[in-house]
Amino acid sequence: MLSRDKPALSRTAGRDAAHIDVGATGGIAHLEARGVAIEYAKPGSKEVTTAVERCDLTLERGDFVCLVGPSGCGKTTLLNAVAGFVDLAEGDLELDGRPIPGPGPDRAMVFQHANLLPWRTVQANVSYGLELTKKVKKPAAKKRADELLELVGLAGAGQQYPAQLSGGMQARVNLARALAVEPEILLLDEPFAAIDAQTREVLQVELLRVCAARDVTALFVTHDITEAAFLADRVCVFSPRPGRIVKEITVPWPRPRSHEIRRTREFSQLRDEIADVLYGAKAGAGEGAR
Amino acid sequence: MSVTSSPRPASRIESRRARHSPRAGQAARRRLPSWLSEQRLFGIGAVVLVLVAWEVIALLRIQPQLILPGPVDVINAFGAMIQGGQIWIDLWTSAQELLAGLALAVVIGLPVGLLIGWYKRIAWALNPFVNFLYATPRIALTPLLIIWLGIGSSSKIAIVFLMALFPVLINTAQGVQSLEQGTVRVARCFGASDLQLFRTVALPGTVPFIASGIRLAVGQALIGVFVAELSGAQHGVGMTMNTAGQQFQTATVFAGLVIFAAAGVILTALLRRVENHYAAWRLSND
Repeated sequence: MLSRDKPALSRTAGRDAAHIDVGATGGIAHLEARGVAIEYAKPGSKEVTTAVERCDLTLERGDFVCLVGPSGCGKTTLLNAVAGFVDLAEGDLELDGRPIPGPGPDRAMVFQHANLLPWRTVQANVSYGLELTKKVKKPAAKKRADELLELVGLAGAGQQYPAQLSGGMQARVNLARALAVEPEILLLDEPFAAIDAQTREVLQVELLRVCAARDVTALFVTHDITEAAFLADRVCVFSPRPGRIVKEITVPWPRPRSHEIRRTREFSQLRDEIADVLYGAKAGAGEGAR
Repeated sequence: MSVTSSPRPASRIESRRARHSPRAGQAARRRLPSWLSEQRLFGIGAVVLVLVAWEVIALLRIQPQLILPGPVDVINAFGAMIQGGQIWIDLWTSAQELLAGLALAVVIGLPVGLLIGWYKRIAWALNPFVNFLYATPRIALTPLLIIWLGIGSSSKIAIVFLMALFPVLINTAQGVQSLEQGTVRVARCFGASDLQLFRTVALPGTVPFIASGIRLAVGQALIGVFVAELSGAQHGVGMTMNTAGQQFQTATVFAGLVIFAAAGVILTALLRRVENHYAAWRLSND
């Protein structure tokens, strides 16, 4: 396994990619996208839109990679392809060297809206994925759910119903539910976008702590530059649609990280660097530092 | 661990409480026994007041007793019906028609509603029929059903069934259609099979809709029982009311009315309890 102190090196075939693949693990990558293109037809028309094109991405075990880009750039589409919801038009997308078959519990998704089942208790929501896979018996599933609730800071909330929880607590349950199936890779689709700014910063720190505790590999989609810079080992910046990874930026700090990092000058510089790439084509990078 | 809680709208219970002014509530709580809330006090008080007024007006004999009997006369009519023994056969007959029709409506309306809600092609195929029958006053099918099924209990059950079917069917379909797509996605993401998706997401999410559909169906079914018995029957509460009406036994008509009303109130209250039990998670929601 990679040490967390060194951000993993990776290979991209993007135009500006300057990274070299040193084959850190010697074998096949954990998640690998090669020349991926995704197209979709608008319902009722034969016109085909290209959402993602020529996309290369490599994740080693334990990596935390953020995809940032303008809205509608196809970053979520790429995430959905990894989840197995959409088919590829071109290229290869492999998990541990095997093509992705379809949705499955080895890739757990954390959506923007918690989408908890309102008639289930928090505990039953967390064990929901386990219940579907039927690999774990019920008492064991409950026990694991309680462990995860403790991990995400919700010990003792297991018997409550989702409607009794705040948005931030629901987001924690959402994360616990995804982790319960012990996925190979955690896919996060703007999970904190609907949460107020203060809670979001708390949850970001929590997420990094949880990922470290469980040795999670994560692919995180966001439009928030600060969030990407704070969370990721590497930030992949997308171009506007059709989405392509124009640059991969390595974040130097080891994870887990604390709030103090946000206040350093290096952090602002990194944020500006991402913003410059993101808004590079536009008039200026002034609005980048969000 | 500090978690900022997002503001949520007050629960239904809270908003109901908020309607009373807090000071009046406190004062009432100090004086009243525990079983008698202020809300109940007003309800019971109003009913007693209306009954007394009715009795007074009836006793003034502005209208003859034949036209307007008082509550005491109605109670006497009840007594006469119970003593005559006829009432039990009537109640039994009507109850059978009501329950058989309702049960059929649930047994058929529920699965068809689920299918319509789940498969849009089935919905497209069945919608014309559902819309046609729903828009028709189904009571108007009574003559047709009597021609086909005779004046026995089967035609009556058929009418009750037709009346009760649509609230169940339409509510169930709507329940499935208004499922949160996000939760469906979550289930799919964990690799749920169609059957698992149905059992763990579609069915529990639809239960509150089904329950309120059945509750609405009870009201429709009672209309069905009454009208069906009007058009020829041997026994039944509706038939007895009809006969009594023709003989100007007005107090007996009122007694029948009370029976129908009581049946509606009791069944609705029972079903509301079931509904609340299954929708406990909703209470603190919305």
